[in-house]
Amino acid sequence: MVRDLGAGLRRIAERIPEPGDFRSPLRSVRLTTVLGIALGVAFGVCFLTGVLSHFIQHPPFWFRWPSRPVGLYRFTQGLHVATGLATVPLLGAKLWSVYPRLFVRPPLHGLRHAAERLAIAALVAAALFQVVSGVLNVARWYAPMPFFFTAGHYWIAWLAVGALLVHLGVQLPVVRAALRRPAPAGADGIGRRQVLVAVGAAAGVVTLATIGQTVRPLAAVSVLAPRRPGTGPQGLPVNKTAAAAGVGPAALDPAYRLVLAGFGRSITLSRTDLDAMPQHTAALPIACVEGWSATGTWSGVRLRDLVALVGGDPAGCEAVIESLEAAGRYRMSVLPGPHLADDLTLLALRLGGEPLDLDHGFPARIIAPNRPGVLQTKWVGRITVRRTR
Amino acid sequence: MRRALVVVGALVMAYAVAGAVGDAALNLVGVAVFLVAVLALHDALFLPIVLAAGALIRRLVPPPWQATVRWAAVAGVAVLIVGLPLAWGFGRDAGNPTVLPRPYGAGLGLVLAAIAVSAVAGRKGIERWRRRRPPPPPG
Repeated sequence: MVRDLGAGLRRIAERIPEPGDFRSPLRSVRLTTVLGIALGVAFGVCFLTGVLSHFIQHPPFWFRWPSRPVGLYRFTQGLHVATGLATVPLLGAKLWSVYPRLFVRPPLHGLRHAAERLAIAALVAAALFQVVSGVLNVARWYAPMPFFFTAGHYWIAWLAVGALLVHLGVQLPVVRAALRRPAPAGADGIGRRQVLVAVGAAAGVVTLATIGQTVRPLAAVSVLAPRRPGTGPQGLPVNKTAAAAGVGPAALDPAYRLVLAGFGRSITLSRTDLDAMPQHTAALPIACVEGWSATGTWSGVRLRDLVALVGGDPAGCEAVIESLEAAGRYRMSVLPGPHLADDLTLLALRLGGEPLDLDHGFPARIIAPNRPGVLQTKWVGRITVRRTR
Repeated sequence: MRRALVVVGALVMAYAVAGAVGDAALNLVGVAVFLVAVLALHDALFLPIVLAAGALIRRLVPPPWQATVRWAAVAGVAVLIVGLPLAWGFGRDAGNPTVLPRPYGAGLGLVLAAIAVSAVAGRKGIERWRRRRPPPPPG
């Protein structure tokens, strides 16, 4: 019985391939190195833009984010998602190029080798986690992810970057040697270039098929873009509808009043009161964390004018914006000093000259330059101005 | 330099683990399951299928066409990974038609067709260009 089991295990072990069994002449150390460098750059771009987006939404005490340039966040977050999607063929090719090493014999020799393999497993798992969860998120398919996407994608990004640094430290001599040697010519060179061209072209196709969700002139070409600028009520896509937020009755109630508080005072304003104030217009994008963006022409009351109503100076202040929503992760946002003082920051009442659609935040919403869409609070019920701590 | 990279990398990894453990919004078991699942599915299912497809290309496709077919296959697989979750449409929201507003199945077919057409056209173009050019001198 035990002998049978032993023989069975041996038979299975004999069927597991060894590194020498993978015979594709296209693999080479130089190819792996070049793919690794490209992948490292792509992960670096995704990490920096991603951490930036996280800090804008959850600012540490030392972090300041300006209100200009108007479209900076639209650019960094569009870049984050576009780079992540373009990483799909790059990561696939890199893992293909090193796959034989998974079967190295003996599987483990010594503590150091075990630690290296563990770090590699963490790197590969984290890299796949980031790319797969990102693809699922832009497709808004959350069922396969048994965790809260935003938090998981954030912490595993740190894991991926840490494992990447360890990997770079371990492989540095290999990378240096591969780059120092002249590139192999002949059949090897042709094969390597073929793989690199294939991966680059695949990344290009993926980019072209999706980038129209933020680069509007390409919207017609990007048949796989998860969003389409121009599609939606008043020509803008919607992330959370009034029905999903459960605000319909409160938002449409004629008795709606905006509560404006600060410096020990509190005043209430009806839609008519807000309409009677000086109106301003600003062309500003909604730039979603999911990588899509679309510009609207908003008009309404300047936030700084509202601050003046309670007798404040926007310099040195911030505003807490609360929605009519009873609950929800994005019910409340904090408008920091630079945005509060910016002339373009509006409590918008109209979009494209018409009253806001209910799904765009009727009766009033925040629209400010250079901010993630989730912070452009809709169905505003209360604004509290306070001195910056 | 190497030691510094390894030490800093290990510290960043420790920061990630500590941060994840301390994040009340995060289901740690779910994250661990997903990490292991993507690794196992990729290494034990996805890549073996890719390797088998690559071996088929090597065996069935005439050598002058292999690079062309390979690039079309690489681009096609990448597009499928991005496009299939959209085409399946589990993320659609009946109450919000601005989410996934396009016919992604048709879009996916269109992109795959464009890849195939451009691969064939590109290959034919290269062949024609090579025929027109005089052969390189021997040696």
